[in-house]
Amino acid sequence: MQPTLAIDARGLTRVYQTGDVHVPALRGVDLTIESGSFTAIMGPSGCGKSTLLHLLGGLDRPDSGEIYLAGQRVDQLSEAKWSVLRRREIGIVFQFFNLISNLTAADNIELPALLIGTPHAEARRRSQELLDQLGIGDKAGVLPSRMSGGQQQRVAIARALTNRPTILLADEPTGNLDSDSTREVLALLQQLNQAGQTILLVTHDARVAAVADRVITMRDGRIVDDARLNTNEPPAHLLSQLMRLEA
Amino acid sequence: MLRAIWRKALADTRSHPLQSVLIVIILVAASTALALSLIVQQNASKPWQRSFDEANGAHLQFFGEQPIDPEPIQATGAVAEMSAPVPMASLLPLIDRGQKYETNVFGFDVEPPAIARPLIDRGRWLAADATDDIVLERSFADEVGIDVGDEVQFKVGDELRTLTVVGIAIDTGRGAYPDWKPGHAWVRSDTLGQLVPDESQLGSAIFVRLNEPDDVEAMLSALRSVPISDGPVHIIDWKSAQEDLNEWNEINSVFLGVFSAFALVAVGLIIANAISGRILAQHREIGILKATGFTPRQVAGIYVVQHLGLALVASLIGLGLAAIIAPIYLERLWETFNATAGNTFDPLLAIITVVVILTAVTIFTLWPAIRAGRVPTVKAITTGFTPVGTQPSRLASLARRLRLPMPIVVGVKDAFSRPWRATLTVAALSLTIMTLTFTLGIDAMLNQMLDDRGLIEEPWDIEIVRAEADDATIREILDANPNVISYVTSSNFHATLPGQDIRRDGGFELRALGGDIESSGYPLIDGRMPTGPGEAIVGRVLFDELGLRIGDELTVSATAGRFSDQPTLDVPLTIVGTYVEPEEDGNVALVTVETMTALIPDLQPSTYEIMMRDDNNWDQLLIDVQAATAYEVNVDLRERGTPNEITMIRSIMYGLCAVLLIIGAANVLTTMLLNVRERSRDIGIFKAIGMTPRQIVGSVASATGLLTVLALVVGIPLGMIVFRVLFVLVGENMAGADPALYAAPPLAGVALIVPSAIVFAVLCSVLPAQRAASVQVSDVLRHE
Repeated sequence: MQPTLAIDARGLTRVYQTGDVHVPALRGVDLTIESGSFTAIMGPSGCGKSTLLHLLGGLDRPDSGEIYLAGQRVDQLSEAKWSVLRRREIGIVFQFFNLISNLTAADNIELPALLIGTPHAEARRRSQELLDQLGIGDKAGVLPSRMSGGQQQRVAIARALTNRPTILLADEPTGNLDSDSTREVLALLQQLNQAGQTILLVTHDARVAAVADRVITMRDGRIVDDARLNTNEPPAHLLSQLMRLEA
Repeated sequence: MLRAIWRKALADTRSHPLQSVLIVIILVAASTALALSLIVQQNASKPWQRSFDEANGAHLQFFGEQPIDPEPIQATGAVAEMSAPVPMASLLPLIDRGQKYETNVFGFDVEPPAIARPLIDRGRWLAADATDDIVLERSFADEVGIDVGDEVQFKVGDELRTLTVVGIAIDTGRGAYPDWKPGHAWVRSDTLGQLVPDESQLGSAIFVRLNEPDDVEAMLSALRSVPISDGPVHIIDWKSAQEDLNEWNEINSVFLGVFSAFALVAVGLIIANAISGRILAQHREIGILKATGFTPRQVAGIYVVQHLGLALVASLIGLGLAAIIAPIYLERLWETFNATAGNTFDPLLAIITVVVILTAVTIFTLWPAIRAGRVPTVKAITTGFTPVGTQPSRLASLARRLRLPMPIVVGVKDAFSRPWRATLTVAALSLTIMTLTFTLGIDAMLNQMLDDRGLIEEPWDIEIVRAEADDATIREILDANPNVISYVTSSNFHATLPGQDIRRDGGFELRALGGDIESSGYPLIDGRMPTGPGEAIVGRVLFDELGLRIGDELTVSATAGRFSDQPTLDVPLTIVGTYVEPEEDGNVALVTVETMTALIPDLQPSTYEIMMRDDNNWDQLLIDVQAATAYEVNVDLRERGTPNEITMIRSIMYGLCAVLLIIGAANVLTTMLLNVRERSRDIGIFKAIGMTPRQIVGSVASATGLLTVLALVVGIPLGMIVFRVLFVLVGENMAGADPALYAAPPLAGVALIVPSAIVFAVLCSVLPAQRAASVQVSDVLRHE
């Protein structure tokens, strides 16, 4: 059976203008993401990877091109319709966690559920379920400021998963974590993917990209390589393969 | 280094133009209110005093129906300066367009007198070669509608002598007509001789300045046992005139002071809020400045300089606005208090205004600026802002338990993310709401006074004094006029209690009313109107002073006048009620005419108190009565339209309410803009997880709504309390009546404040809400 496309992006361009300076962040990017896949977009700082992620998540608008999510064209949706789509279908995890500082972990996780009208009790059940699943079940009533970076990122992942989104977008999810927390979060993402979650991850770190099945390399706003990793190979070999790609 | 501070301060101002403009608007409002208050206070506190000094006013004025001997007055040794006796015709009937006005006419040689000099307001003084010139006192002329160039007439025998009004002047020795009667006029001495050919009919006036102006009583005591004239002498001392005029000054001063204080406190709260918020939002910049080399003191200096610059600009604009507005208000004030126009621009007041505003801004800027300078450099750079909300939001938890929609939960959470700012915002809004509440109450009370004029003045529209005219003739005219609703006759007596010396101990006025007393319009406080012989109602002041109760019986001694030669009558009375009596300081008792006709069978009414259908069509009645009685009767008219005093109080109230509303709008706008700016990251998060722009707008509106509701909870009760305090002051001063007469603030109006305030505040938050909705997620979430 042919895998369905979770994302189909065609000819995406995005130019940032600061005063008289025009910075082309994307220069006609074509990208397809299959459902259930784990894809990493890698590249140096300023290559356009985060911009691409933001366009696919509806957080920004392309200057040209088309975006299809699960076969539905979405690049021309209004901001409000994008918001509705995003709360149901897309989960986003950021580098700096972006949790609401004066809401507890459980409150943060429930937000998207409450937005779609989930009854309070059910939303609360779901948040506890996710917290347990992510190994921080005892942190439900704790504020973000009292958690470690790794715990905060888990809460952020739980929030992104609350409404069982079609796709999980992660923008440098380990960029602000120490090595132990990085390993934990990456293992978590792998587990989620193995359970069927489609994940698109952006990173500048080859070691992070190595957990994905497919690595897309970007440079100067273009995709320069698209490699499916042979996961049967030893990790070190994978890493050297990625580092050659990066070079 | 100063240049660096100045450059940074200027750059900050330019980079946040809206906030800077808002702060300027708030400070302009404060400066205008403060400057206006100072200008009006300075001019209103002693408008009469200024004119009095300008006119070399008389500390004592003696008006005699017969010539007055100046020597006993001079012999008291208290006299600093005294005029020669001025010939005077008292109660001379001036006729204008068919109506008659009693006038005291003074005869002068060409030059105005040195003491109590009439101050020309329009036109000129009497000319040397014109015997037809007349100068009228301003309030009298304005009230009856006579101006320079008009002709007036005096009845000389059977003929009418016409004079031309050449000037309108202010007489500082008295209050404004018609509160003070009769009107005054000045003619040449020879002209006076033509108006009153019989010299024995002329009296005289003497104007005196004292060595010790405050010790008037000593002078009067010295004269009490010394006859200075063969006829009655009316004495006016300058203190009584001043007190009478300043009574309204006090009310205006209280209103102005209260409103201005509220406005300034509100502005102080908002300034503190706005400035501290601006600084809190710039922590990263502060960290960078310190990393660059600015000392904490220099960092603080940047913000002080920035805001002082805005304050200076704002205070100058405010001064300009106050200079434009003040004369509009003061002109009416000067007319009401019979004063000359004063100077509205006083450099000292301008300096005081600027200094107060700059000092306030410095104080409210210094604390947050010093705190900002103390923030650790690295923390400021890496954190970028003072963290908000390290505690869970209980309000948000409550909102969630109440199953409120998510945007409301978010808004409620954010409303108190900075508790101090929220408190200042609520406090400032509360002041605005409090002011609106008591303004409604005062306005309702004033409306009640206008609807029931008996509360503040005599209840009739027209009073005709019969003098020697025929009673039947007057009644015939009144009965035939279709605009007359009703009338009662009044016969006045002077009464005292047993044991009092009627000539020395004051006493009170006993008024015998004939006709339909129920429709007379006297406002009853308690009991009922008298219906039969011997029944009386007493003015509240007299009622309280004598310790009376309804049902009491007493006998009073009544005579036709305090110095009358007619025999004193013993009049038994039963007290059946008490009422509002605004005249005679409330020292009046009303009885039925039958009470007095039992003692004086041929009693004739002395006055007719007439109620008219509306404020128009009075003139024909007056013309008919004067023509039918050959100008024998005197007429007194109620002031038509809204009294000046009420208009002035309203203008203060409405003007300062408008200022407070502007301040309130700027307050909400500033606070919500700051909140949105600080919460832009959170807003980005909410948008990232799926909140629509409309829901973001809803959250901002919810936050505003919550703050407004809290302000209503505080402001409305406070407003009711302040109203209670103010209406006791105004009510007692305007009517000398029991404040319980006045209605409570209209609950419908007060209730309307609730939705109006919420809608107003939410509308003020539209701009910040739109800014929140347009936050670019990808921009705010890239960085920590």
